[in-house]
Amino acid sequence: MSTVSKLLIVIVFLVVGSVGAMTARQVFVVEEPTDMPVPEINGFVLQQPRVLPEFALLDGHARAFARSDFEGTWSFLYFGFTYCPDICPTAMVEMAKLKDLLAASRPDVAAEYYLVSVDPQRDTPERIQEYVTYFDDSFKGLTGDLLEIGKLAQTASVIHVIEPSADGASYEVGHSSTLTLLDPQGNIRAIFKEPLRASVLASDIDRVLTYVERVSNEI
Amino acid sequence: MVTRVMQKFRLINPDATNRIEKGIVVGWAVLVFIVILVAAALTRFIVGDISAQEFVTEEFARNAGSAGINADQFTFTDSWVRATPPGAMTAAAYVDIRNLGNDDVLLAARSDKARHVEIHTTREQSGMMRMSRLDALPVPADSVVQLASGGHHLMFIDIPAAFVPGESVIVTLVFANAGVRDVLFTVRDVR
Repeated sequence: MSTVSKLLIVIVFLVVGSVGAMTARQVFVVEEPTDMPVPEINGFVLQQPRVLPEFALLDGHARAFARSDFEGTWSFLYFGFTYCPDICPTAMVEMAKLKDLLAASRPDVAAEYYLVSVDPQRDTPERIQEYVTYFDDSFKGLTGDLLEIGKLAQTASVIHVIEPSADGASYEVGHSSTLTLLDPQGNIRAIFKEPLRASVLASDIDRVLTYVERVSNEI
Repeated sequence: MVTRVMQKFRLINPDATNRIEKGIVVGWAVLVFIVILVAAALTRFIVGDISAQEFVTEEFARNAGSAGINADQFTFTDSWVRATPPGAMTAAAYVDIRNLGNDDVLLAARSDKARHVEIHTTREQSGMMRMSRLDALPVPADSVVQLASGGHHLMFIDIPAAFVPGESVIVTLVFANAGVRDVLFTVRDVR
């Protein structure tokens, strides 16, 4: 074979090879990651999962509860207090309805529901446990040191204050009324804001879950 | 003789007779119409306009409360207390207050089911939901003031026992002008 023929064969191999590679790429490789539109919800979807800091709290049975205890299931966090007669019970009722709605619409999604106290002076583990289970047997309460609660609240963009009343004997508690969604790795993925209505939350959460699934598939 | 004359008369001018008869009929009709008009005017004058009469009744009802003759100037509807979780120290109560009387102000509330009852309002401020105590809640004339979840409510503080669904609770509302009213509230489980 002449040098020209050898060269031709090499060229043919190169051409066939590169065409084949390009075809294979088209067939087997999923399309380039696109910019998934962030769903519009009554609240905020975080494009980057927000990692929780380490914290040390107590659950309703006065057992230690740490960041890693959120791992394994999705979690919903409502920051409130048991002394609250209006906003918190309303939120707890909506959270109970949400649990039922999601159990029906997304049976594949395992989730836990928490009330995190922003008034630990009055909310002992025992107190918060009997409060949350009144709304749903499976609900969980978290309480503990106010500074430890603050770490969790701050990351969830929840503001809370304790305001002494004029007579000094009692005090009022102010807090953001939001619902925080953690993924099974324990990272914040979305924050839902008032008005917290179960039906709206259920459809918003469905869109957030779809978004999170598609975004994580692309990685 | 007379018949003959009449016969003659008719015979002479039958058209004229017709005209006179028509004139009498029209005359009577006009008279009857005038009588009806006068009667209607008189009736209206004596009995009064129907819509005006309704106004009078409302005016009467409005004054009746303060005069103590008839129904109260206030109507209380949808009065309920949220059933409490075990161990609760507080409870919230809601009611719609309709005021057909003069401007008034709700100053206080009390019940033997709580150590004290405060008038509260929920407001959103600096990204937080906060409750604050009101010293007075205006209840203007001809209006309905709603105490409802997420807005104004009566807050029961230090409750000795849980509020059980179905149970009735008497709450005394204290108004600046109209005085006190005892209102029956029903405990509801809204879970």
